[in-house]
Amino acid sequence: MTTVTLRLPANLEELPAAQDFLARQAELGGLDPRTSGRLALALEEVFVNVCHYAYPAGTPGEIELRATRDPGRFLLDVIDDGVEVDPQGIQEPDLDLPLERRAVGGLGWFMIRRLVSELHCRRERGRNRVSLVMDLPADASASAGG
Amino acid sequence: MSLTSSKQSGVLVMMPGSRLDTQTAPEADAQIAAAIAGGETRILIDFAQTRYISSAGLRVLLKASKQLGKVGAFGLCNANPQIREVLDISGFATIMHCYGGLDEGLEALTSP
Repeated sequence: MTTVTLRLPANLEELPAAQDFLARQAELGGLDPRTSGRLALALEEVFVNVCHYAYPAGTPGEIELRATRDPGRFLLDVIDDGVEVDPQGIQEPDLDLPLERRAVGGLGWFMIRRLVSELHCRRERGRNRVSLVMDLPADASASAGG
Repeated sequence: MSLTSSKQSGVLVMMPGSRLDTQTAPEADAQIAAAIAGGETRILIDFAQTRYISSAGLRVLLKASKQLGKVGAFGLCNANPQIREVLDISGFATIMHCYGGLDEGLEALTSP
């Protein structure tokens, strides 16, 4: 198991740096471009949520990214020290509603849940921790060995 | 400029850059709003150069689609597999008009 950590200011301008970090770690972890792309999108949604909700406007804060490469899976933790955020309480958009009645918001968490293999949200010692887990195909690591 | 625009067969074709995300969505939203305010009623979003879209980009599409739904026409075309996957995951593929290539989109939006 290898874990690499990056700490960034909780600022939307830092999102490209966060995604660069993920892209490098995902490549080292042997993720295929499609899986890596899904995780990059999930990261953007979580990162934006932290910037908007965990640290309300004008509150400076930090986001910690922890990428963990395990056999068979890749884990990205997004950790902040901000206001407690409970994504379970956020209502999912109703995809069956006609277009004109659909809410413009509420889409981020809905997409995150569908993009990753597992999603865990915890409050730990005063910090929010969102864990994005991607299961890797069994042959992904084996193929390197021929 | 976030979107490159061209008028083709009475349809305003707007082409986002490589990413329609948190960074680029606000300007794209402003450009589409300005086009609609300027009288455009048929808008086709051409994803030929786009390889990444996030929920911020989807919100721009939903807003434009709602605004034009009753008075005009709004559609998407040239979505690559990544964009298409996000449209599917978000459920947008079922509520938006998604066309294959530019010609197919133009034909659909110009027919009454």
